Amino acid sequence: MLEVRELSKEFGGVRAVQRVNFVVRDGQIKAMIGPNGAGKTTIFNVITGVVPPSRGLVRFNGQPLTRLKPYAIAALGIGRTFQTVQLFGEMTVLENVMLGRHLRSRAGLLASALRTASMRREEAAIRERSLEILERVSLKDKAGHVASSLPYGEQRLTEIARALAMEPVLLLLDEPAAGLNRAEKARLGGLLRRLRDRGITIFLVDHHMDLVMEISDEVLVLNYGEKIAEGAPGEVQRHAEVVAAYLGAEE
Amino acid sequence: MTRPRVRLDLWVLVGLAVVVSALPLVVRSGYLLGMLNFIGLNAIAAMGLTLLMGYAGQVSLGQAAFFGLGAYTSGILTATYGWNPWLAMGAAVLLSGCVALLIGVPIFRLSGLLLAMATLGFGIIVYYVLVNWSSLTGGPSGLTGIPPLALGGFRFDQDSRFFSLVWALLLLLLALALNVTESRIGRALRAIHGGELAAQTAGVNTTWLKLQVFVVSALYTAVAGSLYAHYLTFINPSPFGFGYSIELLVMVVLGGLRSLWGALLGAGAVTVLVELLRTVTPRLMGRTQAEYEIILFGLLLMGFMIFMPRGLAGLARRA
Repeated sequence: MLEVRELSKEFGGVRAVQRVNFVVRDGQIKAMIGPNGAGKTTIFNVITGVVPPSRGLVRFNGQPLTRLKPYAIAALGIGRTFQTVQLFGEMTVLENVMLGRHLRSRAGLLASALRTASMRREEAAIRERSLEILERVSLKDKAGHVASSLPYGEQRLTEIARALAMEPVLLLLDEPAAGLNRAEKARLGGLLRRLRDRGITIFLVDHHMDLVMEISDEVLVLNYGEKIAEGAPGEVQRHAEVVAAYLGAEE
Repeated sequence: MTRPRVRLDLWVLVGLAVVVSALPLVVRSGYLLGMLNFIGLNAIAAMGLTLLMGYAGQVSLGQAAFFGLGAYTSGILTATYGWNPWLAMGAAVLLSGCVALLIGVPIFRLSGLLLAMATLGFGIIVYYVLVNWSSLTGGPSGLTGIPPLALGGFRFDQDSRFFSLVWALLLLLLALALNVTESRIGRALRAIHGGELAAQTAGVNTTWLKLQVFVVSALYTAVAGSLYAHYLTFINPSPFGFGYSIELLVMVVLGGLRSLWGALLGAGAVTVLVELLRTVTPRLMGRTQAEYEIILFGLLLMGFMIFMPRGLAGLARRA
């Protein structure tokens, strides 16, 4: 589904990512781990069109992504969340999720100004669908709250809900468990597995080894911008270089 | 299920419509009606800028140019070429929209700050064309003999008649703009303001949307400009300079950036304030230079912004 080939990215001489290769297969949960500054978020940014790569290419179902704008990439069915939550703070939780339906609706400026019958029907459908999604992440009772008033964990969930409202085929999550407590983390793990079982492919970056090892089908390890290991969670955990570079440091 | 805010907007609109239809029967003062007419004209232009600046977060420093394009296209087509005023108004609005599209396409491929600079330049260019292309615009002395708008035999040529016209149009344009803000497009606009990258990631084509709103702001402003020309029946370039762009900006900020009602309140406050300063300052300071007005105006604005950062609309919401 997602194919990254020989990807390199330099920021003014600093090599953030060097010749990285990997694929994310249909229907799997794949995790990318590595110390801070290993280039994980940079890879996400290249995939979603936020920054262009220096070299290499990214393909999604065979189509090159590297010259597309972020909204065009979103339109292909790639949803994403950010390392620091990017919610529209002055909008309500529901409105944030409704924004996720942007690509799944079409009323333009004129139809909106005139509140045509089809626009009103569409708007009702957007609202209904968004409430369903909020229910799925157990946030329906917070629908009317202003997004910035929510506790951090719920803001993260709202951002995931907004991405889900797009009905993506591939979901990229940048540190979804950061700032979550133990119970919230467990709920997140359950949610991600349910999403995968519904056919959504998930590619995530996270530091929480317990979560990553528990839910991932495959793990990719990055260090100083290079891939140092890739495989099933058990294999990766035994990999000597990984233990030295990353896991060992935590124990 | 209608949202409470939408319903409240609707009731205020209906209430305002009732007041507007009754007002000319009660208020006889030409001075007061004239003032209300200018408030209406300013409010229409300010609403366009509110959509652009308050919702999409894009600053334009050249709205006076669209006001001027609207007024002069209407003026030239009717006074010089004898067009029907309504047709001329349509042409004026269309032309302004096309011009906005033309300058918007290259601008919005680049960044947001560029819009402020480019519209500033555009405003200056239009002003100089109005002053210097005398054969077409009448130059600094202006254009006379612009006919008023009329419906059948009913001419909108008195303050009270024009009042009904401008406020009816204002309410219509306000209703349309309010509808936009409570829609898929409105959410996308607020998202651009909140964070362009996150909006794009959610699938919003921010470039295209900003361009559309810029064009809408030009259309609104041109409607106001065209109405202005047919109201005064005489125009010269001076009201279409940089100063008016700033006045519109102040109306929008003072009224409360995120609120279309704020545009109306801001237009009212600035129009009245400018008029008061014009009449009061000479009495306080003697017949001196006009610069005192500007200083006082600036001080009042600073005070407003410090004590009411969310504008007049924010104040109304708290009450």
